[in-house]
Amino acid sequence: MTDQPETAATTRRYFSTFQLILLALFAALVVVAKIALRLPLQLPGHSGIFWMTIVVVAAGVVHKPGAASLVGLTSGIIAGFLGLGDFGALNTFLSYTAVGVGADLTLWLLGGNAENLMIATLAATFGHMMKFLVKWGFGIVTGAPVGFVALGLLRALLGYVIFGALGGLLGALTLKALRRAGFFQYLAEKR
Amino acid sequence: MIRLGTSGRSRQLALVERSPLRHADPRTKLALSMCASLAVMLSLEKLVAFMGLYVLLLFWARLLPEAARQVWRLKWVLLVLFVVDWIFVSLDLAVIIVLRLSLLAGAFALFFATTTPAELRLALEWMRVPYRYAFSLSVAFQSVGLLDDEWRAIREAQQARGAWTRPEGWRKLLESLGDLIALAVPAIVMTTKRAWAMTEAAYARGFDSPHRRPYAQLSMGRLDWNLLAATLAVAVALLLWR
Repeated sequence: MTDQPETAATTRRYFSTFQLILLALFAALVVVAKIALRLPLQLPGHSGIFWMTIVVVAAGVVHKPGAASLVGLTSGIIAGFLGLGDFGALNTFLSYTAVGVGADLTLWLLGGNAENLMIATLAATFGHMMKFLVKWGFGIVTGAPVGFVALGLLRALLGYVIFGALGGLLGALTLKALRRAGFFQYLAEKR
Repeated sequence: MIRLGTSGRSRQLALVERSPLRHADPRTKLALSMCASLAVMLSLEKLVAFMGLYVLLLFWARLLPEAARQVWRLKWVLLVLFVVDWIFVSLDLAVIIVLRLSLLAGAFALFFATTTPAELRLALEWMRVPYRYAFSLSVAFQSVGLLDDEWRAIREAQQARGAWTRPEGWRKLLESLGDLIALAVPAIVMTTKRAWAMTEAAYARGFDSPHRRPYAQLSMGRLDWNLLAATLAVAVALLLWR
């Protein structure tokens, strides 16, 4: 057996370098959207409308299972460093990661076509609801009575569902608009 | 202080430079934060003792204001939980839940307030996270400011063209859902162009070289070993405590 150095030519990688950098920038965009865009709506989770749009677009552009999870994970680390979220960095990190994993899982189960309005809406809704599950999990870990936690999070759950669905819808529409504008051809040429 | 974003309501990475933990190894700080998070599983007496020690550590590390700020943001949640638990269950439960939530909220202040993204990247590489993933993470950190400026520029341009108005209320939001695409599409296109430029620049600098060497290497100092030994001692003491 020869001791060959590992090179780009001999190693098959799941995400290309371009895809990794693109997903990292999408993750940064998620955080920027979270900070810069606030709507005057009195319901928690409304930033999810932009957030889930970007997650769905990331999954549609890279089109590989794990893309949305990587966006969630990376944005979770950035958000943790920037002190976003009210329940501390650990909760922020887990919430963002869970959003990506949830969206990814749903997309994978439903066939992975993020341009499909129904699939994108469902994926984003489920993904955004994972934030709720993380908060629920925190409630359980701390030993808080589940009934109180559920009651406290009921309004938030409504927000997560509505804005997650809107974000998914918007993500699919954005992907369609990008296709019409020749964005995917541009990407193919770059490859 | 590392500034991310140059306009409007951008956030900053608030590094506490004068903290003694600033010079500790990021792996040590990560271990400390994770151990602190695990302490939520302790019983009330042990948790109170641990919280006392943890507050002392934060005081020594000059991180008490950081952790307190994080907990202060939770004040209403903590207050409601405390009162409700006290009335409907017991004072013990009310206290333990408030302590656990405070600990979870403040545990990672120790890490995030004293570590730069570059140090995190080195720690991730040490944990066998592939270099390309760690690199993409630092690219993301460095791009937040640039993307923030681009995002604002797009928003202002679309507002000037009348293609985007901030929706006031539910009805307007649903009506202007299409307008949001006018924000998203240019943002996605510009982000993709930037990603491509970065990829080319990275390859031009030998990014994929098989003989790559890291620009810096982590090394554990006396402070790190002392902190880890103290953590171990506290963990053993709490486990043996009857």
